[in-house]
Amino acid sequence: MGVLDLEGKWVVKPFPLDAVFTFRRYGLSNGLSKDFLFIQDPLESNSNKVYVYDWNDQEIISEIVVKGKIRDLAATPDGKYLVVCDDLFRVYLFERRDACVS
Amino acid sequence: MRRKTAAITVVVIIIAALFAILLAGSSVRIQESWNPVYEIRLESNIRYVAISQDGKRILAVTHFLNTTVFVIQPYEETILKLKVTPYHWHDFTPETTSKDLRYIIEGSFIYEVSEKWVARLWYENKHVVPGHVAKFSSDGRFIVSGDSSGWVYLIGINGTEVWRRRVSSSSIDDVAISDDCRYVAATDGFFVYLLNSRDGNVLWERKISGESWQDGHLSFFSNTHLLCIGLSGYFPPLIGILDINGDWWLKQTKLTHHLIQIKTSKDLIFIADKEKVYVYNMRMEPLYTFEAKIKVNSFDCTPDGNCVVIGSEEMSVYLFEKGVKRQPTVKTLTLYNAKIITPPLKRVEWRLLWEKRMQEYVRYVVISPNAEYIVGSSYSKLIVLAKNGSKLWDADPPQIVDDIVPISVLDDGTCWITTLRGLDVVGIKEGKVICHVELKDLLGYFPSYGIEDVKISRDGKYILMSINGDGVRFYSLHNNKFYELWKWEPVGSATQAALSDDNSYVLISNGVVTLLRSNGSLVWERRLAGYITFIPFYMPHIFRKYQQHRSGCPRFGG
Repeated sequence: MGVLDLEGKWVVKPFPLDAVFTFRRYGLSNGLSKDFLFIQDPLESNSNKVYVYDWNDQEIISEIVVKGKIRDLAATPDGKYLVVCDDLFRVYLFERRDACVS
Repeated sequence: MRRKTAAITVVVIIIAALFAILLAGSSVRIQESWNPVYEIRLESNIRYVAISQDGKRILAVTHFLNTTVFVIQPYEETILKLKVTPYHWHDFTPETTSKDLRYIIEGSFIYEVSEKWVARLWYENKHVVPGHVAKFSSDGRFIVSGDSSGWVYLIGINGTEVWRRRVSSSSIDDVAISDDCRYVAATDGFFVYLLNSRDGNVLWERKISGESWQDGHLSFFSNTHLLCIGLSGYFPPLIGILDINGDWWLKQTKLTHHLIQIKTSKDLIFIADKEKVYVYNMRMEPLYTFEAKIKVNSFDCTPDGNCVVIGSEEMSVYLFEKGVKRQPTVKTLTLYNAKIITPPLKRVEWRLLWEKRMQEYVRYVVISPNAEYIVGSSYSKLIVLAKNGSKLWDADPPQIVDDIVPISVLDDGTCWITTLRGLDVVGIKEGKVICHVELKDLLGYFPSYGIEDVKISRDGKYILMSINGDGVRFYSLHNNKFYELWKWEPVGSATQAALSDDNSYVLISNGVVTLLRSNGSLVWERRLAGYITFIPFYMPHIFRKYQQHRSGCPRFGG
């Protein structure tokens, strides 16, 4: 993932993610919020984990686990809320809670 | 007679003294030794090792299921464990490393070693190292490379080419650059070529072999302009030293063992075969032999030759130090007793507010920007939940015969949906259809598929469509009454599209990323493959630029 400014220059040069992902077609919100990128690892077909990247610092800062295999996810633009649905007919709502820096 | 005897005695004494001096000299040479100070055991066999200029850090590459790069500080007993991501799920064996261990060349790419990972440097998708052999300059700013067609290149670490020069019609076996960056050397196994690093002009060429199967190895002695040349392929291999004028400083000398790899320090030559690393002085007199327990896969030494690191076929990296008088106790550092640094640190958490088991299988979810509405779709049914998880309403609009895919839900609860085949765009509020556009109405005929992407602006006033089907391909912007504001026909197919938060810009991607103003005029385009989107609420320093752009930019309909 990389970030270009409106002049087409790299602001954040492309950096590696541990998962292959796509910004979804359709929709206002997808996995990208102001500071975070939420992605599910499609390389793991049974993945029940959402990886949260801080794309400013270019690192994984958290992992969110649900019970079943993730089918879809969406986040609010501010990254405060994340909604996930899985193959167990469940919908989950998560809220960000800033913890102390370790 | 007595005088004669005395003379003989003097001669004998002198000879004895000379022998003593010679023996003393050889014993000094024999005392030249490197003693093991650390054995570092990692989790799989060691493919590659390198040591920093100061001898305090070691880079080791292992390969088992995923490639892992370890940056080891033996004296601080720390091991930094880094992943190589995401391009190498397969074999990753570096060709060379910069002396500060910051950059690695593997294949055609440069990788940067950070505290988080080992990542490929990215220069617009270009392969940055043109040849198959490469070396870094001592300051890490330049790379000299040679390719299979006889070309020698000097490139900057940022991927820019300084010069290229064809020196041979044969493949380049090895290259080298002097520590002061004044000279570049290359060999094709027949000749050695010395080039001026300023412009790539060939200063001289020196024949080193008449055999076609010999592989050339090159290495400048540290802080000198003396060049060590090795020839392997036939047995016995040959080693020679050329001076800056192309004259033999040391004529080619036969080795008694094989030659896989050569490194040089300021006055020593280190040569590895498959099992051992041998040390010679510049007269090719053997000084010392390192023995790894199993096979030597890779080795490196500091420019002063005082520290040597060997990576073996089994899981150990060995660190040797020169001049330790007494055999020290070899410390074993493992992943168990060293301090392992495995980035990253966890800093932010997302707390589960609720989970709800639905009666239907929910395939897609979206959330409104204010988080007040959560929409899920189950086949042809739309389910809308409130922030507290309670169900607000659901809808199974009879107009839609295909499976529903939600596009977005706005802050006022209006849901926009499309269908799996991409034939409709529908707006629904509180269970009632408020807008329904069929693609056949836009195209004037019944398509079998078509909407590749659709985005609704955050205020619900604009709809951006990407149509790709049945011979038509275009991006179009509409108002919420579906009046077409403009249409953009790309050269290739129409794929992804995005609208900025404030409706000022449109971004499209189809192998070329194009930024358009909201009136459809072009801002720039760049040849980049990938998926695109706008970042919500731009970062402050970008936002300033953003505002400047906005001031001169017409709004929709303007």
